[in-house]
Amino acid sequence: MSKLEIFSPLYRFLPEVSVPKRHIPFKEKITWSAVILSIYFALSQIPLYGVSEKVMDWLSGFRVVLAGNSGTILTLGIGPIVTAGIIMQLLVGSDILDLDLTTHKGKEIFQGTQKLLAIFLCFFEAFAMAKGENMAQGAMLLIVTIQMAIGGILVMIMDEVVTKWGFGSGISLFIAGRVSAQVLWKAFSFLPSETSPDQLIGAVPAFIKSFINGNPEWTRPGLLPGMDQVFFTVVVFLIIVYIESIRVEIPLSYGKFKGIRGRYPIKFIYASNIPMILTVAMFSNIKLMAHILNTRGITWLGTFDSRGNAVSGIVDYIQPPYSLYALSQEPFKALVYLIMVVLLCIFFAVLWIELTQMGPEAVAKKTGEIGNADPWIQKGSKSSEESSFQIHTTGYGDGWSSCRIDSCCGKLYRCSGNRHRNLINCGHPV
Amino acid sequence: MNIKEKLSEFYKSSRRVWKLSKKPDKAEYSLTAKVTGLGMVIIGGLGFIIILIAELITRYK
Repeated sequence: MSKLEIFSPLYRFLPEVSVPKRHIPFKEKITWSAVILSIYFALSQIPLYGVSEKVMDWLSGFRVVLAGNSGTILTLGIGPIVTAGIIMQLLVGSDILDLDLTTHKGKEIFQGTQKLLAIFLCFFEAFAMAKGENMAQGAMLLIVTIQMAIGGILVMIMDEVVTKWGFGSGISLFIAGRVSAQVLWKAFSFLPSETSPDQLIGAVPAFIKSFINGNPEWTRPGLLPGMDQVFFTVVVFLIIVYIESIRVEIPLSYGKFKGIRGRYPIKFIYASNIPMILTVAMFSNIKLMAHILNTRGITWLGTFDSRGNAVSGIVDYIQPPYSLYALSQEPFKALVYLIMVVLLCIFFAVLWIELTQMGPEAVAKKTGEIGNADPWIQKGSKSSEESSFQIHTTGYGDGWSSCRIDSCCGKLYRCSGNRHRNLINCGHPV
Repeated sequence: MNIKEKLSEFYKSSRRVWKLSKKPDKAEYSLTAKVTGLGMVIIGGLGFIIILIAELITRYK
């Protein structure tokens, strides 16, 4: 069926979390998620053995999104898993690999190969990190590499446990956990900073201290978080909550029971943060490649200064401006970055939705299963809201069309034609 | 269709969807914000405690 089947004898050697055969009660799900999250946090604090001095992390900007913590066992975070996902999606999405994901066998081969690839990437990325950052020499290099690779594999297994036994996906949980912990730590930590011992780490305790001393400081020099950052964090939080709550509700009426109406809500930010994660993972891989090529004297991907910042080439454009000052210095670079991120997010959103079967056909099938539902629009309606929906959805193609939500930019694509007629005509002819 | 028409078509349909989309009302918004914030505090708090323990161990061992 597929060239990939040659790997199938290897699948049984892969670590696998068994699927629960019974219903998992709510309380047990919470326990699983909490235990795994605690293990994740603990692992992300264990420093790598054999790396003496603090290494410069030139991927720090991406590290947060990839749920890794530099210099620890979890340096790689979800990087290898996500990268394996991207590669497989691109190969299958572009039909280079001929896999039918609607069949059980196809899915099995897809997942098995993705896992194999992820494990390979754990070792590959770990080696690239250790070598690129010059973490250790000789035999120690191997030991450091293995530690990071094991960390990556552990994240993969923990993700599987959460996905099968807990709530949602492990990847999202780890990212949310890491970001939340960082926010709280930088806002409220009352420990003194290691780089400047007379300053407290947390923005709020530092502000209170300066307030008591009679000289309130709203901003702080260097990399220490200040009240201005706390303020912007809250603002961004509030904006995101608003945007994530927006949804488009497709009105449904049930053919069997005239008059009963339901609504099928579709999130406006349909693919949520997934396109952003994939984009960041791709950028970090490009940077990783550039670093390795640099050690061999090849510089067409770009070059770095001694502190690990990109200074030329394509890698110079794939890092966000870190402050308003940096933005004002190089507005063109920031603009290129912005455009690239938006375009890549659109691309990954479309790809992701197609491949995870969250697209119009799948949704149509689901609404059909709920109760043989016809979207209400077929019956026509008078109110302005519904009639404009009708125009929008039926105005194109051969009589039927439907909408597909593209995530990141929150734009709704129209796809018309027979292929999508099912969303509107859920097995119930007019 | 040339690019200009396509873009304006795209803009129009995007705008239509934006108008059609249901924005959260005040009560719903404040509830979502509270629940999300609480979630952040719970999982972040767990991480905070673990980071604190790790920091204390490495600093004052």
